[in-house]
Amino acid sequence: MTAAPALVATAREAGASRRASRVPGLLIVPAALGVAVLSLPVVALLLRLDWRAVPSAIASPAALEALSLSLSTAGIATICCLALGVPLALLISRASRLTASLLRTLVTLPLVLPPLVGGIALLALLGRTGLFGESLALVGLRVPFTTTAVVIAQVFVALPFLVISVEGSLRAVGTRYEAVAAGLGAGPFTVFRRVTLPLVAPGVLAGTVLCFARALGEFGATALFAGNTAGVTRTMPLAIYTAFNGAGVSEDIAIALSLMLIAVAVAVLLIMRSWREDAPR
Amino acid sequence: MSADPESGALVAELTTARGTFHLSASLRVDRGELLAVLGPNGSGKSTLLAVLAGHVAPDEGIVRLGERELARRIAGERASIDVPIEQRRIGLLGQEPLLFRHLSALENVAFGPRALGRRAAAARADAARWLDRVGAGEFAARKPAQLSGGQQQRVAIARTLAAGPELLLLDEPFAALDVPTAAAMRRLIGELCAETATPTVLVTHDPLDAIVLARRAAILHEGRIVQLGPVGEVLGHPATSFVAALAGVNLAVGTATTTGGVAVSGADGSPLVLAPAGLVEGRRATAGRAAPGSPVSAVFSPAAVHVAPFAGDGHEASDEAVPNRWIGTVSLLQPAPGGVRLTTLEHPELAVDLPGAAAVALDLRPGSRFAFTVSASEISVREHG
Repeated sequence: MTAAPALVATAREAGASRRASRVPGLLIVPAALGVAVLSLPVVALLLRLDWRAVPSAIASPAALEALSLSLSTAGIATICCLALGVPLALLISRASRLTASLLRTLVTLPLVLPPLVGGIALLALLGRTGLFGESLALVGLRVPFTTTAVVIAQVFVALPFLVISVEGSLRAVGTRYEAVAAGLGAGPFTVFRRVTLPLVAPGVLAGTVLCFARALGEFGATALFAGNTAGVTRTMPLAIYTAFNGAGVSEDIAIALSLMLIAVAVAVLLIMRSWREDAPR
Repeated sequence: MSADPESGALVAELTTARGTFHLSASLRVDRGELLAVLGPNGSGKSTLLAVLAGHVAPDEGIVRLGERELARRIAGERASIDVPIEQRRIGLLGQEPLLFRHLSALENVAFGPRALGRRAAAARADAARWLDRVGAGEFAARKPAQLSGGQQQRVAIARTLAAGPELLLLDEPFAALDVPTAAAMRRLIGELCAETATPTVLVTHDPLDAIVLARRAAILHEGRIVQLGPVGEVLGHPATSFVAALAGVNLAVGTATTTGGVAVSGADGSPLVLAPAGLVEGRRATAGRAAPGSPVSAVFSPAAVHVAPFAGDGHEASDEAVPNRWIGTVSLLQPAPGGVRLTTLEHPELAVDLPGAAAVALDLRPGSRFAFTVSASEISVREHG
């Protein structure tokens, strides 16, 4: 069902037939190249780093402001994704085949769409001349170029990660336990709260972590839809971009900020690992 | 609820189609009664339970439990009823315990009472009592993963009964257990059904379940109930080869002879007449005799066949059609409890059991020919179909 038991099973198989499952030598070279492609850029980044400048770069008010804005918007976006994504995943996993494949395509769209296109689409919906933007302007609400816009952009790009992860768990768990719970007299919402949700908890957790990481790194849609105002919409990725391009600002600050983002991402992944090890099987 | 067995009975009359499969069944189970439903794979047992439990709506028919109508769909009637699963008060226990793995044994059992609106403390006290009753009290705090298959199934029984079902559906609940555990569980189910008087439908492959637990058995075959009656009757005189195999008896289907025997034709066309004792002596053994030529069946135990060396050549002896005797060529030899089971080319549907020592003395081997005689006193004949 979830990755944890699957990993255990794989490890057991590997132990049982180590020779049979040996990787062909021919494939080791491209695999090693793959590792290099993934790791060398990060290594190069760390080598480029002017370590003496790091403390001041990180402690600068601009950096801290960007970091706290990033963490809070990504956190709120993740909560929104949970509130919308878990019910959506349930709907997809219980829908008819046609409806499910339609909804699944829709959910996957932001994954394959360039985030910039997502930003333009959001402007078309909520921008000053957008579909809903005009009516919102009438009641005095302006969404673009606000912190709300940052959260909306993050939800747009991060929601698929949560939905896909939770839906996979739901389908793996199946409906047999739910039928048992219903047979014991539990109504649909009790079944969801006391049986379905706890059973897919590992999937929800994994989806939440991926969702948060994606929201944290969101740049393209945010840049177009929310802009780049310090303290309001300038999240970490935008701060890095600004530092990198900004006149008179050292490239080192951009690199130091990148280091912070990497550190946060690694921390999130580590937390997920330790959670998942004692996650209920 | 009154003590009247009529109240609280399950009455079901339903037809349903799933793809090309059609199920059409009509049954009644009174309070305090356990009905065993036997049938081969794909005979519709699971579909029957699914319709009763409310997982599948019948295409047509009614399901009534006591005063409550759980499902009703009649052609021509506008209104149809399909009570949702959670309001049916039907306990379903399958081969797998399906305990909620995130809850302790106690919380699993308390789930039903809590879902029915009891307070957490009262539900837990209820659950503890049920766990004690099924002999799993000591496992209350454990998670399902820390329990053996048999222990899990005990907890599952407690969980099912703690919800206070008005009908119990058991879907091969002992199939996944080892023999001693299955025996203990069988005894437990028997006791609990007697105590709670809950009408129970037990679907099974194992005739032992029916013999131990049920007074009546229904045989489901290709979506129809082909036989329904007291267990002894059903297993003693099976209507289908499936039940004959289950009950460990030979079933020979043929046509009635003028003397009341059963004429069976072998694979090579050689005739065999099976005649129960009494008929051979010219008397009527049973009150009603089938009209000559009508379909009848004879049942006898594989151990009721005597095997003797046959010295003749060709078919002359078998052409005479001496009652209860055929000349056969051994086709298959298999180990059987206490000896050997063989079948012949001429009548592959009839098994013959003989003790190991006799098998050695006769020098049995595939291809050799013997004279087989069925002891007339062990043959029973019925109308078939």
